[in-house]
Amino acid sequence: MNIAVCVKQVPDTASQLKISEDNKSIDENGIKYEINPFDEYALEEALRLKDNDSTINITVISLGPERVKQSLTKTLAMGADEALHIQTDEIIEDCMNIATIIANEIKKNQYDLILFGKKSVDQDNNQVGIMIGELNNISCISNCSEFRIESNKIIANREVEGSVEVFESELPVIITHEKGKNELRYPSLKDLMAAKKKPINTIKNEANKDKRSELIKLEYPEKREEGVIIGEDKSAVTELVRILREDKKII
Amino acid sequence: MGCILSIIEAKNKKIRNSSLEVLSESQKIAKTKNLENKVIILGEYEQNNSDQINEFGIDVILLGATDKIKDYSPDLYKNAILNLINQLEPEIILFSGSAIGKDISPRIAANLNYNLVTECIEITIGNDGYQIRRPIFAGKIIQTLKFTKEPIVMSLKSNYFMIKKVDQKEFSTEQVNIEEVENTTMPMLKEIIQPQKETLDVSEAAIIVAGGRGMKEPDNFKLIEELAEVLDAAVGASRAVVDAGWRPHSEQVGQTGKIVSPNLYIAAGISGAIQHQVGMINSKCIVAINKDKNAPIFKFADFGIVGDLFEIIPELITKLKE
Ligand SMILES: Cc1cc2nc3c(=O)[nH]c(=O)nc-3n(C[C@H](O)[C@H](O)[C@H](O)COP(=O)(O)OP(=O)(O)OC[C@H]3O[C@@H](n4cnc5c(N)ncnc54)[C@H](O)[C@@H]3O)c2cc1C
Ligand SMILES: Nc1ncnc2c1ncn2[C@@H]1O[C@H](COP(=O)(O)O)[C@@H](O)[C@H]1O
Repeated sequence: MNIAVCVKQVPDTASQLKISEDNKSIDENGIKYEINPFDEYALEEALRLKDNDSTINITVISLGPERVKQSLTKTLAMGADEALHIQTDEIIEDCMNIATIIANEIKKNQYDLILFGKKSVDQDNNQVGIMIGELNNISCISNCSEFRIESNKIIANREVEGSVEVFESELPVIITHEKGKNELRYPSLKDLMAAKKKPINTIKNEANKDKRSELIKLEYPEKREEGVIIGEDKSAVTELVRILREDKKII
Repeated sequence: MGCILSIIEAKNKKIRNSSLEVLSESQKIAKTKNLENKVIILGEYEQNNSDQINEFGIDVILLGATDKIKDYSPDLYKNAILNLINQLEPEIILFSGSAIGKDISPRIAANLNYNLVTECIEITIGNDGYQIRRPIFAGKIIQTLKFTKEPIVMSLKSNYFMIKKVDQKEFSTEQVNIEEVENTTMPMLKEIIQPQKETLDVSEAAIIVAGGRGMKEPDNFKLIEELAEVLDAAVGASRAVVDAGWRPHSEQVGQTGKIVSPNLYIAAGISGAIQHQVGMINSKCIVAINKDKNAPIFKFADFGIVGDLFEIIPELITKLKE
């Protein structure tokens, strides 16, 4: 079985972000880049399948600038077999462009399962994986919290408001993954050394950009007003209930 | 006259709240841009329930809701919506940010080679077209975008738009053909698993009571559940307790859980790490209960009580019951 996992490199979720002077970009100084958390969960699912079946081949794909290689090396250390770096100098934000570029690369190989994160935590788009399903005419189940493969079929749980939808599909299939139920593995130093021997193929992205939207500006959200400490023990509860009932009228 | 098309979801014979938000916004846009306000209703819906829908300035209702489409079907939804778009040629298409909206909107955009902007929190219409504001980096930054190419597809972030009714207006209703497609490569819904107990989901609740590692052990979440019941609230959780297996992932609030904005968020025994904060900072009112007065959560809570939650929560339950 051939599995592809698409991973995006994003600023560490703990980063304090600074808007650059042009008001249109994030100051990259001092930012630590990580693999998008949902993509890591997706990769973990692929690795668990491989744990039980060593004939599985896992290719990790990432579109982005040179620094992306570092994240790809990490995925190889975690256990992926090969990596494809689609190199761009400019950061592409239009989802249809991202989806089209990656879809074209995916088309070149026969994958049975293609995994994505449900969303990238930098742009919060929730769309690239699903779009690739449509572009390449591959069945896609989004927002999955777990799945299993039975012969040529996949059965996946999709998390929706208040319940779980169980979807079924034939392979090949695209899954966009939620935070999984499985803990992530961390590569050891030995894994990292071994990863250096695994191949990262780099291709330059030559696709034309079709501009559908334009960024006007970035700004910080409004600051919350400073709160108050009502008290230091349970005697404060009466006042809290009064505030919520009478001042705020929310209960 | 051009038109705006809104994709409206019905469940249990009622329009969902997230879709009422879409209706409120679509009538505003239709009025400003002088567009015909058309909506398609998908899901389980009863038409004589029109009291819910006749005050949103709708011109045409396209009724796709039938028995065939009671539950979500990516296949049927996609085809119904694509057919309509080809027929009506709307200049703007609105989806809600619900689980269905999140799944179906990229399918539509990709098929038409349109742009899709998700999680919009504000739409303004100026001389040079639509401008959209949306949070990025989990809300640490807000971006403003301008569309340079029409038609455009947007989905609205849930709980951000006020549900606003206007005057009653006559509208016409047309039935939409829902066609099965042969040889489709779409996934099929096999089963819906309902939670054992009828619980309110954090993404839809007006009040959330959330517990963290300070609860000490899973059994103590009975306290959180009891408080939630008194307040008619949903139970939320930090990732620490979800990862420990104390609570299900569906309750997790934060960067890798749900992003919520209820009227009231009560956090008990939660330190307020940045990844938790980004998930709940847009709550209208935040109350924190934590025994450590230096816990980060007090930096952004509106009201705090420094103290032992095992004393404070039972007292709160008693006082609320009075
Ligand atoms: C990529 C990534 C994604 C993440 N996503 C999320 C996410 O989606 N959601 C999330 O929540 N976290 C997330 N985290 C984890 C986050 O960084 C924190 O580790 C987590 O939020 C801590 O949970 P907590 O507040 O319950 O526990 P702790 O930080 O251990 O805090 C427990 C608190 O309870 C208080 N306490 C203890 N006993 C009592 C008592 N008797 N009475 C009152 N107070 C008491 C303590 O003072 C302390 O402040 C993520 C982390 C990473 C790296
Ligand atoms: N530049 C990229 N390179 C590789 N995968 C990506 C890229 N952008 C998005 N993806 C994948 O698409 C998913 C959804 O991203 P998004 O639609 O941006 O929220 C991510 O979780 C990744 O799996």
